[in-house]
Amino acid sequence: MDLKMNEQVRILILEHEPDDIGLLHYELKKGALHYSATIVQERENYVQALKSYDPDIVLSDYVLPNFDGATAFYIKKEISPDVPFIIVSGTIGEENAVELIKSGVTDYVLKDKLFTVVPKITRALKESREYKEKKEQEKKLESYARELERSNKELEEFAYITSHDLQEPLRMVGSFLQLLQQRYKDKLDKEANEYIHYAVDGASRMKRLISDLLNYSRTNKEWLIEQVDISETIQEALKNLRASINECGAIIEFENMPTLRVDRSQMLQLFQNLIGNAIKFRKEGGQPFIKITAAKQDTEWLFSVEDNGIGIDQQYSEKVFVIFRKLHNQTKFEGTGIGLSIAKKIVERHGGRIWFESEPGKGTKFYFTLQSVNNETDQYTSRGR
Amino acid sequence: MKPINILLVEDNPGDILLARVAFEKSKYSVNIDVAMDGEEALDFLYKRGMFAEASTPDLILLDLNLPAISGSEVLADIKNDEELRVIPVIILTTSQAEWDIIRCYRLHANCFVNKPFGFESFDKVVQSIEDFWFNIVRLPVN
Repeated sequence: MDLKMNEQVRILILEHEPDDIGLLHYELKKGALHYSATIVQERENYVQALKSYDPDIVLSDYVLPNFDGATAFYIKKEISPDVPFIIVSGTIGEENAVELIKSGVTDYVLKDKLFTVVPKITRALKESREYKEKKEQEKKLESYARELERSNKELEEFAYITSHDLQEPLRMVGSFLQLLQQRYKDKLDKEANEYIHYAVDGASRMKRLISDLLNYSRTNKEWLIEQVDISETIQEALKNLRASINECGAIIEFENMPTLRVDRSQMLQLFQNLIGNAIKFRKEGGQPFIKITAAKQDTEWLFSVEDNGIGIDQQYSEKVFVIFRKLHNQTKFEGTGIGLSIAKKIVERHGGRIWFESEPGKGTKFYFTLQSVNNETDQYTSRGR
Repeated sequence: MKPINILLVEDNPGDILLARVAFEKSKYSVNIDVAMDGEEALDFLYKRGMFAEASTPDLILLDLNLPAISGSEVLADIKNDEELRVIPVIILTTSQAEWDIIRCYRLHANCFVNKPFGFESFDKVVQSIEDFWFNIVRLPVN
């Protein structure tokens, strides 16, 4: 970024020798610098000018009658910390100069090389402008990050509390409809019973949606990282899915599973959702065959869960992971459509990715990557209300 | 047979009715008193004010989510009292939060039960409570 030369630079000059002031003006004009200057000599005027003149840059002599350049610099540091400060001196030694620059003085100009003053001013202003912009951007980024964090947290809280509080009135609707059904079945006609049936059914489905939503939002809350043997996790998932496995005679194969530092209950949920889907979306009358593999790739593990089910059209590669998005109607395959969105959330929370390959009518192969979670700051447990 | 006194601490009229209906067909003679908030529950248990004549319950069904004085505060108060602490307290709540469960047991709740969805399951829970606490378990004679 270049300094715009047509912009007037406000220079505060701290100098008492009239000759030196003249020379300085001469150099500034020769350098084609478009500037205005305020010249001060006393400490009091200097402080006053820093505040009221609001200079873009300060040029200061090093030795002053009852004042000195170093003190002037520290005063400037207090009042306008971002304004560049250049010492213009005939007597300043090399060592002194180095010390001053170490403590924050922008630059120095020797009086016998006064022709360097304009390039040095230009450079100092450019650097200070860049520094200011960088600082502003950092500040902006920081505030965006804070805002994002806050709104994420609020959203999670909202989903959790809403789904929790939504259950109460719904439980009333469901319970009293059932009571009505139970107690008045014989007093009502067929139509009335059918109406009640649909109302009860709707309430129970709503209840499932809400508890799934609760589950989904909880995926962000509770989190405990420990050593987890994935083959044990799969065994446990199979135990939970026993009923549906037995019902269709599903065969599940897996071997050489790693041990990873992950959240145990989320791993169980992940494998249970994927295996459960592989069983649920089987071909009509078919026997599911499910193969789970794991292979180490650099720092992460690539897992796959392959089935011989009905398959998924590739055009739904994004949609299947969206919460409550279903590809089939309620009567064909029941469920709310939360399983894969939770799976995705779990994988991503562990720093991995999930996708699938499929051929409709032949089967689906889900892939996901996982790695041990090492970042200490990620390891926390938090609990909702 | 002496009736079994239950104190139901519950602020939702729907739940109160559900409990009454479920206990109605009990083979035991059950008397249900209702406190609709924590303060009323404690007044009842300590026989304060209009509850001077109240009978000490044999069993307490306690909701957690109550206005003002919460269920867990009521629980803590009961279990801190020499005389009241012998009364079994069954927490009956919609909360499924791990934290609520552990907190209640730490405060010496006798058991923690989730309010089920639907009347049939509610009925089942009430029958189980009756079967266990009125039939299998022996309670102190007050």
